[in-house]
Amino acid sequence: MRLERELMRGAGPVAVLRLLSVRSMYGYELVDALARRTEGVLAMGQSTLYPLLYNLEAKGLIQGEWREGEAARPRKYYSLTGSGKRRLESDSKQWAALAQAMTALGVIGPEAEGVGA
Amino acid sequence: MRRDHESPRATAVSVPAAPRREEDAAASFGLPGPISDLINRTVRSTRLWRSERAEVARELGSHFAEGLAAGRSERDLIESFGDAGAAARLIRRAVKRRRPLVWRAAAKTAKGAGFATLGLVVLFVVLAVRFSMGTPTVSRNVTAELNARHAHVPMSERAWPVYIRAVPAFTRESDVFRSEWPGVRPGDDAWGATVAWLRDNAGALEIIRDAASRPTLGVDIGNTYDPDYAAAKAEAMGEAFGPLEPSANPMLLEVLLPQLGEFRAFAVALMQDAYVAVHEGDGDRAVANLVAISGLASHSQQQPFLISALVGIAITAMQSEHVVRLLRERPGAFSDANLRELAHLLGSPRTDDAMRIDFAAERAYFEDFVQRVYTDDGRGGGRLTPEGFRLLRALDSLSMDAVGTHRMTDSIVGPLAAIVVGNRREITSMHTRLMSEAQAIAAQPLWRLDTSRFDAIVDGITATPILTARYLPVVAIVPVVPRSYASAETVRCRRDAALVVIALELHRRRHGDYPASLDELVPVLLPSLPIDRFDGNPLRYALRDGRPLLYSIGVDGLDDGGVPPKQGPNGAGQWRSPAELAASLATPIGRDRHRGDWVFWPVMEPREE
Repeated sequence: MRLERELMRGAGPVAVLRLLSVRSMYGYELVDALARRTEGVLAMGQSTLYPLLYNLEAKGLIQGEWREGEAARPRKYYSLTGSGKRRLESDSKQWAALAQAMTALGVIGPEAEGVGA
Repeated sequence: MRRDHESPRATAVSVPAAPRREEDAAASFGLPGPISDLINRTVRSTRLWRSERAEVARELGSHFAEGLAAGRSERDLIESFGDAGAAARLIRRAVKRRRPLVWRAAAKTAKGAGFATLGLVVLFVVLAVRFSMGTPTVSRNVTAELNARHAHVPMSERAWPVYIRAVPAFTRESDVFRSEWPGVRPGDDAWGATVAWLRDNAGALEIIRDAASRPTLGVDIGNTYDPDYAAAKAEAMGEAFGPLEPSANPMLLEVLLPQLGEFRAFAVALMQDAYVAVHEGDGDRAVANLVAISGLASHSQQQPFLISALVGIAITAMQSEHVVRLLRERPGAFSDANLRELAHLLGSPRTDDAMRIDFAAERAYFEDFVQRVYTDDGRGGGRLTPEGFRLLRALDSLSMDAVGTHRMTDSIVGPLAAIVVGNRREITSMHTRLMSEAQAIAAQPLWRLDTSRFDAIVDGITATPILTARYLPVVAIVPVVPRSYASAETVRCRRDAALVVIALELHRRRHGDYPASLDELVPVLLPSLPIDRFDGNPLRYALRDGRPLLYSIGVDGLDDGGVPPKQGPNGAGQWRSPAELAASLATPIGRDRHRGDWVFWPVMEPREE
């Protein structure tokens, strides 16, 4: 299942911030992690990921740094900034509230079974 | 694979230098041709700065290299990349947000300015097209209307063709005399030459007297000179005189009134001849000249322009002033019959008519102007036309020569002027309002004359250059109207004083002395007591050592017992609004000019400071 564009626009940045809160990651690694860990729901191609990263960087939420590691290929690693951490904290609360509200409405959760059937 | 995902902090060994070109950046990963092409095509499409393109190419190259290293096929990677064009647009938008704040601010400003400029250009083009399509509807021929008023009078009975015959003498005459006329007396340096010139040109003066006796002036006005007049001038000057292209419907603004200049010269010469006549004991000739001067003033008024009225008033003012001086000069030169004729002349409807201000003519003048400046929507509205703009520009520079030039400037400034200059309805409304105020002013006696409402309106529409431009058609034509009325009223006062002086002389001849009061002159020698136009009471009169003293309290409104201002009596007879008078009397020069009485008798000469 792939998300609608509007939903992806809201969920993508917070998902990337969450992944980078654990450790620094480079672009391909982020694409791979998003696809694998969300079972394809938040999978995004390069044409979506890199503009998203540049936007987050422009807002000062993440910062990139080129490094050459054991792979002998230069990689640009992205890590969370202080602002990024605060934004992730704020966004996480909002998503939790949203999930709670959607559950209460029966949009998600046990009561959602059969919706749209 | 797993090792590649380990923390970079443990494995980083160096920070590689970024290639400077996107092609080098992609190539540095040794990627297959199709992938390198995709990267280069995408990055080129972003139209970012070169360093930004190299950075993006390097990151995309790194991404594809990681994919290949992870075992994914070249085709799979290209397909998962998505649309290159869409990717380029999104990347461009995102990367530009990373640019310095100053650059982004400048870019937004430039973009805003660009849109604003574009908007203004579009607006200007719309205005220019609308402006250029406007044409005035000239439906009225005011010049023809004015000429039609005397069309029924045969040429043989008109005054103007006769006046023309006197023109050559005055065209050849030197200005030396005119600068000192009238008032050159025996003993003055110019007396001998003056007498000689007047004797040599007695024929011309007789022609003027003949012309001035005719009721109708009968000059056909237009934007060219009367052919007979032009021929007379050319003959006297020995060169061509003013050949112009005649217009069937010339605007009043460009109508020529050469008779006014001639009339002033004629009047001055006749008055000077009256001085010579009284010294020769020829009272009849002096009176004949004064009668002719009234005719000239009346003829000036027959063209209903404000300038014509002002010339008529000025001629009458000179006549009234010098009648009194002639009586001082040689009272014995005038017979009783001469004096009675003079009194009847100065009190006649013809002399009254010569001091008239015609507001209806000013309205016609304005309406003629408006019909040539604006379009006409048939409901009183209309907008400025290119032709109207050129007329306004000419009016502003006071030169009709400017009409028809500067076409390039007109095409740029004209549409903008159409925004600034008031439309037809607005201008007409303002003109009507001002003329209504002027009419109210003319209904007041001079001593209650209040121009403050009129002046406030004029001040309001000339407060700024933009407002002046907005109401230019009104500003350029109207403001002198109320002051012209005040000027006419003070001339009436001078004329009334001349009537009293004549009556006093007749009284002296009949009774051997002057009356103790002006009441003794009424009704035999004066129909009624003349009013002092500065307070509404009778003119002041007293006997001092058996000699009469006649005066008005003057513009300052105070009776100073017949003591004139230090600079002489005439300054006291110049009307000023209350505000202007207060400002003048606050200065020494103003007090010397306006503080005191306007003394008519005995005759006092002006004194310099």
